[in-house]
Amino acid sequence: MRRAVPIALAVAWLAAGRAQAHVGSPDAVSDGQAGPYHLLVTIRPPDVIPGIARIDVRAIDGDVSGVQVVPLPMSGPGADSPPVPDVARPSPDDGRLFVSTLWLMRAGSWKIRVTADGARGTGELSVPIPALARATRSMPGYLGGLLIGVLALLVCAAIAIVGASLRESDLPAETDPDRRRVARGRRAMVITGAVLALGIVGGRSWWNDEASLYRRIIYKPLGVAVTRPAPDTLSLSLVDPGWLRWRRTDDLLPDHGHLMHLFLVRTPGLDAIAHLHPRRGGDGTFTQAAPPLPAGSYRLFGDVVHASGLDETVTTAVDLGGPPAGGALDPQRFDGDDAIAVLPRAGSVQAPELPFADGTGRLRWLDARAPRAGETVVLSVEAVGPDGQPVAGVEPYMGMAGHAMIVARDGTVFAHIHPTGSVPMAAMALAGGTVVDHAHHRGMVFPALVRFPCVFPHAGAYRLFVQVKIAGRIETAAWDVDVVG
Amino acid sequence: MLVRMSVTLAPDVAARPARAVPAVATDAMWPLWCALGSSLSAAFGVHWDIAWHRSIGRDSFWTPPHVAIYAAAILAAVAALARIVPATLGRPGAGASVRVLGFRGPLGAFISAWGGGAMLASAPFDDWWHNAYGLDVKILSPPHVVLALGIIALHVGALVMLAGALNRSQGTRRATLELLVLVVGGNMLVGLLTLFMEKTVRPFMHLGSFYLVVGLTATPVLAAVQGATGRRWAATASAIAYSIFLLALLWSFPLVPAQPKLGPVLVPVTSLVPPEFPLLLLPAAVALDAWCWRRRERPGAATVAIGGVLFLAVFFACQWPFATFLMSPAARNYFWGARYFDFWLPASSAYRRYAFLREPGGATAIGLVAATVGTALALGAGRGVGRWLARLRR
Repeated sequence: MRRAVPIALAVAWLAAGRAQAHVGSPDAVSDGQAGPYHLLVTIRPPDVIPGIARIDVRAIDGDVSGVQVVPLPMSGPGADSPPVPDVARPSPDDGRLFVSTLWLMRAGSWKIRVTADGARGTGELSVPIPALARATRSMPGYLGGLLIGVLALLVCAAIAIVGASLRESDLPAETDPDRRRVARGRRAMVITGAVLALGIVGGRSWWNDEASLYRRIIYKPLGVAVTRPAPDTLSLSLVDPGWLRWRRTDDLLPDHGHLMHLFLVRTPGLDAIAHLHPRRGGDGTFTQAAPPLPAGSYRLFGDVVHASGLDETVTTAVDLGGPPAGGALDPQRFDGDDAIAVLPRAGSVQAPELPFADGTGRLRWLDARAPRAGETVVLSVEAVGPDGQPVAGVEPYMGMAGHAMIVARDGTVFAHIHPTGSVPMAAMALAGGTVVDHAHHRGMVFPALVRFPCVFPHAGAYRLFVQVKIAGRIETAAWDVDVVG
Repeated sequence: MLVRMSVTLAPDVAARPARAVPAVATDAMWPLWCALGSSLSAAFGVHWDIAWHRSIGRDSFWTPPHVAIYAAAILAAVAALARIVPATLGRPGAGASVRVLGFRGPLGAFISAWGGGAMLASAPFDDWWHNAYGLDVKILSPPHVVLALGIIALHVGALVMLAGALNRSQGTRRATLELLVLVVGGNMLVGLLTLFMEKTVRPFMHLGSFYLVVGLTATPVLAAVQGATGRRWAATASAIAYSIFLLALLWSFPLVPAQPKLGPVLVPVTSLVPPEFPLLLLPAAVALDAWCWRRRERPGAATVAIGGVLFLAVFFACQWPFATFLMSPAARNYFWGARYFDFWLPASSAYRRYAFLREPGGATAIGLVAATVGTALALGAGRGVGRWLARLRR
């Protein structure tokens, strides 16, 4: 029985082959400035397109009096001509929260333009959101039963009406139909029944065709094929399984200075992780030195951002075990932003502190309660020195105060998030109208307290990996998070 | 002035002349007005809903156009129940009735009730469809076809209720009912041509298939109202009702402010986008009426065949050049209405480019031949329905 759990987890990990932007976590969270106002925006996109997205806007400082939201395509026709904006309603329970719903009409890369009003004037923040049809919903049983019942009634009534019309509708009142008319009515009823049966069969076929057409626009994530041209080298090829024609593999934008952020997480224990940045070969191909991680099965996640602003995460399973484990990354073969970590122990709410590898300090998780599924939460991690006091600051790690990865134990969720939220900076820059490379913020120092706004999509066991840069070294820590429903 | 046309009865009834049924003076007229109201409300609600989708876009169960459509179903149900309940309960003066699933009532009341039921059944189906496959981006989807069948049944039910009552009426009451039948005929033209709107808008007007669709949908209705009323200019009157209805929408909708509430907005829209200028059915209907009146003593296959050819020829001769005019800058104004576009229509679309869809010349010729044959057959079927409506008693 004990063995069954890891096996089940392993099966779940293998089954988690379907990827999308942030695997299994479609909600977008963005922490940003709308002019003078600090906003935390959560966008919950629909899983059918066209469909309704839910927008939550939280005014962090409580200084916003009104919020309007409007959807716009990231580029192309209509990108500069918004429809009438929606006025977000203040939440009755929370004066800082404004909620709204918006229709997203077309699959692709969209942005939600949030306009905040307050005493200091008006500010705007645009948040990218991929609109992807991700599901086909089945009909609830009660509705199916109701519709079948109504259909049966309508069919019976139609047959009876046709029968009556040919049997007696042209007879004077008080005159009974003769046998010939009765027989004619019956023949008409049989023919009507046959015609309706054909209509129902044809309707079913048409419905199937429509469903099939819809399935063609359901998001099919990019795949990735991993090969080992040499024992110490991984070769990655993006594979387009066919979806909408505008998705390509040769249009990637650098995000934090890299075309791909590659994560390897050992399964099922989630006790080793690499955050790497492969070099691009030809179109849609990358090469990466195999990291010196312990041998085992790993789940690979590769984050990429298309020129349209659409972000995707490719995923597959790989086995590592070639190169020897341990030791520093060879700067000749690895990027300066690459990091690996073996984490035999993870923290938790009860044991929130984890020491740095060299014992010169530790990372402390400050949240005291378990997050709730579907809720926008801000996870807080603080870097403290040997004296237990917060360090003077953390250094920019690819332009950010920190990077965090959320991985569900069952393999259904992976999200790469930052203090700015879950939206890639490359997409944010596109939404704002300019492409900015956030790779280098030399000389900047961030506060020791690093916050990660995010949404856990469903209840269950997760592992949170956090990476910050202190004294030129990338420190990685992991906590187990139990998300409640 | 309308002039009564003689109607040839089917042999079985002609052989056994119906007993003289006195005018049912005790029948209340209000259910018949309700039936007319349901027909008008459905035609108006559908066009309002289409205008809503073209100019505002955002949809919910309770948009005003949807309320108008469902009000039509409720009016139909009221009209039907007002006849079915007393007839089923055997109340005196309930009027002539047929038997359907154990209930009694006028045939048209059952058809109306069926239509209302289908319309209401389409609502949860359509709602689920939106949730499963997204908001409508086209008219013809399975739940919309259920709704359309309900609306058509609602029109047909109104027509049959009115025709049945008309055949049992005399004098002023009969004249009033004839007028109502002709208006319902106009509504049916509006409704059927709306159902096939995706194939009958401007860019399609130089395709053979356009004439086939119009011939197949318009002539049965025109022939049916000819038969039902027996009036010389019945088809003309219904074509006038159709034209007035659409012209009223064409000239009133642009006065109602509206803005897109969905993106992408590809056309700046500031008012409700109206339907196109009505098809030039009127001259063809005049020709059809004239021909059928002239041949009223010889209602054979030749009359039907030539009537079909005549209708299509006149319609083609009017609509083809008129379509060319509608594509010209001279039509891009308030009166002719060729200046309105859906807010989501791409600049590359034929509709926005004022371009006709093209097909090989041979295909157009084949389409026109098929349209001619189809129109003649549809006319024959419509005349059959008209004869049946003329002898309807219950």
